[in-house]
Amino acid sequence: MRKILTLLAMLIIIMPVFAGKMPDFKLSDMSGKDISLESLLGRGPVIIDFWADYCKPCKEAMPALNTLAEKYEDITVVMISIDAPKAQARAKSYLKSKNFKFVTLFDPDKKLAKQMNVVNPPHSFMLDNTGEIVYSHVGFEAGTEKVYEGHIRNMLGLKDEAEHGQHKHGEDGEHKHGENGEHCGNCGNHAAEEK
Amino acid sequence: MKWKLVIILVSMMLPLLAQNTLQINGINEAEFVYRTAEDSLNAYFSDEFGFNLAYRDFNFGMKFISDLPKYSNEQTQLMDEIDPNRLSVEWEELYAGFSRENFSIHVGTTEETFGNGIVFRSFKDLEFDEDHRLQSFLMRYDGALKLKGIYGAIDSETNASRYDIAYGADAEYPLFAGLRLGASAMAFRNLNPMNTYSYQDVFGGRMHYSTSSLEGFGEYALSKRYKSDLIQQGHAAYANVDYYVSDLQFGAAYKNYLGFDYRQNDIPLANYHGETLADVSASGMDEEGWQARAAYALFDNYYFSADYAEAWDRSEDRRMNDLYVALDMTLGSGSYQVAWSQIEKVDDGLSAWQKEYYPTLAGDMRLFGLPVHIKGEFKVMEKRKNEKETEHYEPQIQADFALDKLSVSLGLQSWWEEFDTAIDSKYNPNIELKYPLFTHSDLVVFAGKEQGGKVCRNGVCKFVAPFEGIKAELTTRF
Repeated sequence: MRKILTLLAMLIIIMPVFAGKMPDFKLSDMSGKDISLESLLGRGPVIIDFWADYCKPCKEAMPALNTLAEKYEDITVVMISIDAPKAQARAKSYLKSKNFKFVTLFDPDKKLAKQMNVVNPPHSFMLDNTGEIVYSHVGFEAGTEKVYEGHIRNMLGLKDEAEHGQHKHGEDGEHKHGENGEHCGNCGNHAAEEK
Repeated sequence: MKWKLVIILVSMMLPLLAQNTLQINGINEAEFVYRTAEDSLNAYFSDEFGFNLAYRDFNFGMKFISDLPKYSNEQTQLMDEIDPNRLSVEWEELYAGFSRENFSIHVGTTEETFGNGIVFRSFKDLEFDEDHRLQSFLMRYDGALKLKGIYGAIDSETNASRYDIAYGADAEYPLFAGLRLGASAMAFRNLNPMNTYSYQDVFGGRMHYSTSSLEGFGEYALSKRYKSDLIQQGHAAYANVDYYVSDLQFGAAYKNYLGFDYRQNDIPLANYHGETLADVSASGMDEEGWQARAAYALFDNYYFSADYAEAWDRSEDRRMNDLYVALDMTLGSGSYQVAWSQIEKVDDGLSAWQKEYYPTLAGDMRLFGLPVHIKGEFKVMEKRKNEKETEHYEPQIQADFALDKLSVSLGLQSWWEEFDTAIDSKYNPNIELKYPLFTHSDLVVFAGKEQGGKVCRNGVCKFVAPFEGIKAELTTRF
């Protein structure tokens, strides 16, 4: 028992000072091509969402995450399936039929999931463009997407939508992009003005 | 000795704190259970503490699990008194690895799959609470050509203090854009009750073809099991194709398994609900079948999917079919689903037949200003054995909603012999509350009764054991 307590005490000492970065990984995409974390970083915030085909809340989260991916073109949404290899075909066909704007990866042996202590899906991580984890959340309840959007806007240096007031549209009705990659066609926010 | 090693390793980590390349991720799940069951031992405590450490090219992970006692998934296995065999306090998972460029080494507790898992899979089955993980040495190269080699051991099924051995290799190569070919070879040495080892060799070949509109996978494997002077041969064949045309999608699968069942594999079942042909025998023993599915997305608001599968054994004494049809709709700010599931099984040898079917209605909407998820299911189970017919109904309803940070899930299940007895039947209500205590800690309190299995509530899916009582669980992530 003393040994367990010694070990736990040592871990508690080092916990507050660890670096909260996403560990580097390389996982296969739909076509079997390897995608690394490094190749996903640098363009803007990244949302990494661990999901499984049997998980209904995971599927309920997808349209909301897709809306964010369409609204903020600088963000990358990465869906990582932790389905067993025998269930991958169904996971692939589900995502392909939906035409979501996601990067889709597979972690059938839960190598990355284990490193990130993902046990029950969905489990999401929000990274800044250097790979630092700024927020993580287990589950997807109604309203979770608003929390995600708040973090995205924070990372992009945009004001809170509530503060920004009523949405605006371009005079010609065309989609407009803010300086920080906000896609204004759907949201009507003018990032350039805010900056 | 093991403890000294652990403490030395952790001590070595401390000087690395000054460098920002040290990464630690961990989780602690502490659970207190008060179960209102008919046993004298109704207070349980369990804790799981796991962490992973990564420093430059190295990673190291451990998981400590204390089950006081281990809580069985089987409601029939309730303990009258404390059973010493069900108390465990140990580091259950231990692994270390090195990775540089395309080369990596992993030692310790291993989760690994060759191909689709037909020839080899080292894994933990959460649904059935079974551990098929090897303690192994694994080496891999991930270039255009992917190579893996593994040598490991697992507790023997006949004698827990002895080991079974497994070793083998896997290679995969992209022949041209979209097409990858792979081959696996595994050898298993399993301990017999007579303290001798039986031999089993498995060889497999596979192909995977992928374009934007077509996805195809096929694998064939051959098994030879040597027992004294006997050689038992088995095989497994599996193929799956999906074709996409605009918003329309078609898919089909075929399986054929015979004498192909062992611990370190995980074969596809080729039906929507993941059902085996018979509950009493593994699918790899004797099963053949096909599956067809289609899906259509209309105007972004409607999504229709249908999935049908049939399976049988060689004598065709056992047969089954599996059907799933669903329509998903997005109307205004709400989304809704109507679904129908049906599974039918026949076993002429046992003069048995059973059929279960259940319509499901689910919806996400706003009620009284609150976002609410409601799901209702009405399962009908019909059985016939030796001309004796039985029938019962299992209705259940669940509502999830959030009050600021507090997530609430209310559930009600019942079991009716007949419709007339609905009012007098027993109802099992339950409630689960989830509240984030700090940035990375959640407190979950469950009270009531549930049947167990896979449950999704308060936005999270997990496998749970049949239960009646109160559970309080504190999960901390760091």
